[in-house]
Amino acid sequence: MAASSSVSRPGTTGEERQARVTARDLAAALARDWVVLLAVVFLVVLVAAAVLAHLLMPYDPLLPNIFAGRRPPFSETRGLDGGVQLHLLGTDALGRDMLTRLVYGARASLSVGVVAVAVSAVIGTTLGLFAGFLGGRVDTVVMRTVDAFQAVPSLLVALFVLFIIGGGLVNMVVIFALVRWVVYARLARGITLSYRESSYVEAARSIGATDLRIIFRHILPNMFSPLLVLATLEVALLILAEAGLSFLGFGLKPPEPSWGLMIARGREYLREAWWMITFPGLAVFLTTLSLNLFANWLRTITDPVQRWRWLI
Amino acid sequence: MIGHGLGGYFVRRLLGSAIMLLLVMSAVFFADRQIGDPARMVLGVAATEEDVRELRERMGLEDPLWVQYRRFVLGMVQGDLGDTFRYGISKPFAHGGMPESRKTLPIAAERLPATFVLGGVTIVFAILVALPLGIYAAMRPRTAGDRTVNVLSLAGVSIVEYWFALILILVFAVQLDWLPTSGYGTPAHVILPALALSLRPIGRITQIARSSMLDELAKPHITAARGRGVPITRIASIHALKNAAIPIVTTIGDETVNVVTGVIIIETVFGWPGIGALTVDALAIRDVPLIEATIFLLVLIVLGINLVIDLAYMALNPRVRLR
Amino acid sequence: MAGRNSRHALRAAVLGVLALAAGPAYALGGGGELVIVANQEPQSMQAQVTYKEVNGVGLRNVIEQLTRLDPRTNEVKPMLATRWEQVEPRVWHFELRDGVTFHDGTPFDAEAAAVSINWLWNPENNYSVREMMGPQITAEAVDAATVAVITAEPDPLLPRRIYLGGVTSAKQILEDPASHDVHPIGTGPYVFEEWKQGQYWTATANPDWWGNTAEDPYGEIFFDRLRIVWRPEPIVRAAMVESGEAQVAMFLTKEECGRFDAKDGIKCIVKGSDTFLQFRLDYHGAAPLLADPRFRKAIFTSIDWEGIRLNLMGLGEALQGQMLPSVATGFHDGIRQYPYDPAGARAIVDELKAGGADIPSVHVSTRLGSTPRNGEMVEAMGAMLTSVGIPNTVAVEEPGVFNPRAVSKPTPERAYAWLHVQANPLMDYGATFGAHFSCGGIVSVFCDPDFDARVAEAASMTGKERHEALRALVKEGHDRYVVAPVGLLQRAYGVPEGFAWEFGPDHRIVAVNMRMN
Repeated sequence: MAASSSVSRPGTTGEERQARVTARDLAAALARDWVVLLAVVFLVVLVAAAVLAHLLMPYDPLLPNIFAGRRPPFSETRGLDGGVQLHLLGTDALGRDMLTRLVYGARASLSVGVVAVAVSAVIGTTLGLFAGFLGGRVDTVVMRTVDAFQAVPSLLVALFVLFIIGGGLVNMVVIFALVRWVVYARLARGITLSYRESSYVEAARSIGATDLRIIFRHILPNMFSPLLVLATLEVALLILAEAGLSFLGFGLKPPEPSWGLMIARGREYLREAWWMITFPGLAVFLTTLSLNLFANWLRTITDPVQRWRWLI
Repeated sequence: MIGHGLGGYFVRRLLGSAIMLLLVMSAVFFADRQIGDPARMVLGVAATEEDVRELRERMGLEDPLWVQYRRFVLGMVQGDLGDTFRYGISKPFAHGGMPESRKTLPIAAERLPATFVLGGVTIVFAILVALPLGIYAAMRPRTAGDRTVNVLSLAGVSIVEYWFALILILVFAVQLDWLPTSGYGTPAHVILPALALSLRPIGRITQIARSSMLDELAKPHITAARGRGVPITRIASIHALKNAAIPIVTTIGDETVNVVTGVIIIETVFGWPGIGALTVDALAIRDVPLIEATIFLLVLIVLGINLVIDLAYMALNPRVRLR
Repeated sequence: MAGRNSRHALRAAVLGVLALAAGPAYALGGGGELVIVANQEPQSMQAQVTYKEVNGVGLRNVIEQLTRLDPRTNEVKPMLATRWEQVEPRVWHFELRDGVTFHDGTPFDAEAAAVSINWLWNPENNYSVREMMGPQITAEAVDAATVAVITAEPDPLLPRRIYLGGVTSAKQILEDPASHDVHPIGTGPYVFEEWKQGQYWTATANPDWWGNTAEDPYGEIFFDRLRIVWRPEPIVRAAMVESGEAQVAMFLTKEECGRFDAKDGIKCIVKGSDTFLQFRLDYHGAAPLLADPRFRKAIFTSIDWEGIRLNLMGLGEALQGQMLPSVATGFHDGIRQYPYDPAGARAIVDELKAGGADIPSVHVSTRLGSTPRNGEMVEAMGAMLTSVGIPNTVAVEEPGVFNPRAVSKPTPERAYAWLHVQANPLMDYGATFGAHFSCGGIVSVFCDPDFDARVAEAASMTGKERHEALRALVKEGHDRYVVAPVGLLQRAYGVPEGFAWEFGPDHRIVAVNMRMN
């Protein structure tokens, strides 16, 4: 997790001073909050499973076995190779193992979220940082663009653009990155502004630090925690967005197993084969809930005003 | 330049919104030219190449792009975004012009009241549930009650709305037979779609209400009031809530905007005759002028919400006016 | 309840007075309101949309045709025309029913019928019904009660084909053509009331319907009002019948159908239709391999058609390797469904590769919502093609993407297959070939002038001769690996227990053939 982050800690002593929250502090705080601990464990397991899907899962996520479709959890079927297959979470309409598809689906859904967030965070943070640091015309141009983007709901934009250029993994990541960078830009600019005039940046400047050095040594580190919180929330948001767009037919394309697509497909079978929508629905729910819980906790723990209540 | 004070600010904001709308619609206009020949889409099955070319001429698609764009912008200023494709192009077109029933903007605007009802009920319901929950949690931080509210509100923002909507229908309409499955008309019809849409705003507003109340309750003057023995509920309602209002109002605004997007799916599920369902219909048949009209209105609503939020800021915090 | 009864009494009294004043009138059915939940909103209320029930569900209650198909025998029977005759090879005379009026009060006579027919098939209107037209159709009045329908080429199927064309008020067409799009004025047992876009359309029972007094009506008014609503989500449609909000829910899946039968108070009505699900593959194009019969054979034998029909399609009857069932003119009993032979298909692909051929990627697409589970079906097909080494992409496309491609001639650069439903109420291969196999057909898979010539020859024949000629062509088409019929669609409806409904393979939702016991 976050190895360390540098924030000011007011209220503990009379004067403001730099303090470091160590990984040990975080772990201790985490251990005391079992709900968040569970969420973190879930996320770690999920990411590991998604990365190692091809090693963990014995079955093919794409190969249909149409004579073994819609089997309930704990069913056994005869696979195409003649062997007996056990389906802990049942099979989908094409006879593919639900658990296998869920784990491979984690790959698609998480990569939509994580890649889009990574790209948009880099773009947004860079622009916001420069806007805040340089000010003047750069600031005006960037912030006007941000205002323009924020005036239109990003999901509506994503829906329309995907309608024009078609769905699919790559298009979706590109669109999400293009519409969501503004939230990072806004945050990065705000933080930059608040630190640009701070006494210790002034001090650094007075001893001859370059702009780049000030950015990398003094401003970026302070941005880390709030950005991590925001990015975590954004991953959750995008996973949900993927599900919504799949409902409308503009999400990932079959046969790609993604949670959104599985839920969208499974809704026709809600009455007869509840497991086909319930498990991917739960996967999305638990993942976004865990991300939200974690982000919430992270925010509290790194927020100078609230942290003392939790950390000490 | 244009004016000072509140009136001037208002005029500037309106002007900004108009420019925004023009920018968005221009982007939509040029994007829509990328999705194939509308004339071919309209004529479909049995049309020959000559038919298509003739229709293209009638629709003005043979003109240079800038002429088409100018026509589009001029039409938009006059509230005319073209004619729908849904009836096909038949003789009336050849008879010169289309009857009013084909104009897309009136068709789309007709759907607004239904969406306003659904969105309004959703947001009001969300506020009524979320504010007490958030305040309740903030007044007893780190208790079991607080943690429950916290997890529940986060659960609300984590659910796939249409999955929840289908479950609501099965439980309340089919199993219990308390409410109609879907449709429009009576107050009972709005309950399930509003419930499905409200989970997310409830979760978000609760979160913000809780954290901003928490911040306020930790401030010295509140602690002092507590010390003087003022009952905690009065502190909460009067002192703290007033100061916590700005972030809460911001969140309500953001969530209202999200509801405007959320109606696209929820209206489709419930057969709710709002602009969201119309958008899905228009996208499905690639009715380009109708798509443009629905996006126009959706963006207009969002700009309107943002304007209202800004005005609410000013009412809450007079310093904003000096900006 | 009291209010309702007194309203009924009042209406009965009013009708009684009218009966005295204006001759015989009909006491309405008393069955209350019939609510039908369709899968989509109609795009218009034009007379032409009645040619396909799914385009304008229930519209045939308002708009009638010259002829109809008998629900039991599928034979052509009188509707607005009582008799017809082929007076010349290209000219048919239809004798019209006496005493019929449109809902706007104008009389239905030969002039009105001619205006309506000419409007419907007019090339300038370009209505999609023209895909079923065959040779160009025009009409003119012969005398007050006889209309002549003229076809550009002889068309022995005309009385059956004319059943596709809805007849609406000539006054409306001439004076207010724009309202024709949204306000249907027909002669049917129900009078259109209003279309609330996005919500429903309604109609009320027509006390002046000719069928109330005729000797050969095709049904009896039971329901007083008709309300058509639409819900795209199948779960919601089914729920509306379960909760009593609707009486007919369209297009249940096989499993839903079973659940409806098992539950008290509701049931499922399921029946074979005239609509088949087909897979067709472009024949000509830049990828020369697509015209190679060996490659086409590899594609057609790599897919487990029967497995797909049984497990995914669910509600589908087997078709014997051809598009139409055994009752159709031109049916060939000697051919079978394409066999599932992945090993053989793979061998062909390997052989082609060894010969230096570049295997093109095939795009298999289907239209969103055209039939239950079509997304699953194309996904299965894609996986099956992949497993024999044929690269492919699959997609469920919204109508706006799918339709233009499905209704335009294959362009040379595309390697494209579609899975789509196709109705053939005519039950005759002549019409099918015209659309799918001839050079002139807008959706034609291939162009072979020699084949065309023989289709044209067969199309002008009748009886056994026609059957034999078409039969030979069916075999030839089969051997070219052009179209694989997946199955004849069975459509299933959720209804309350005690609901009786008589309908034919065309699955027309006609309220006078429904009642609640």
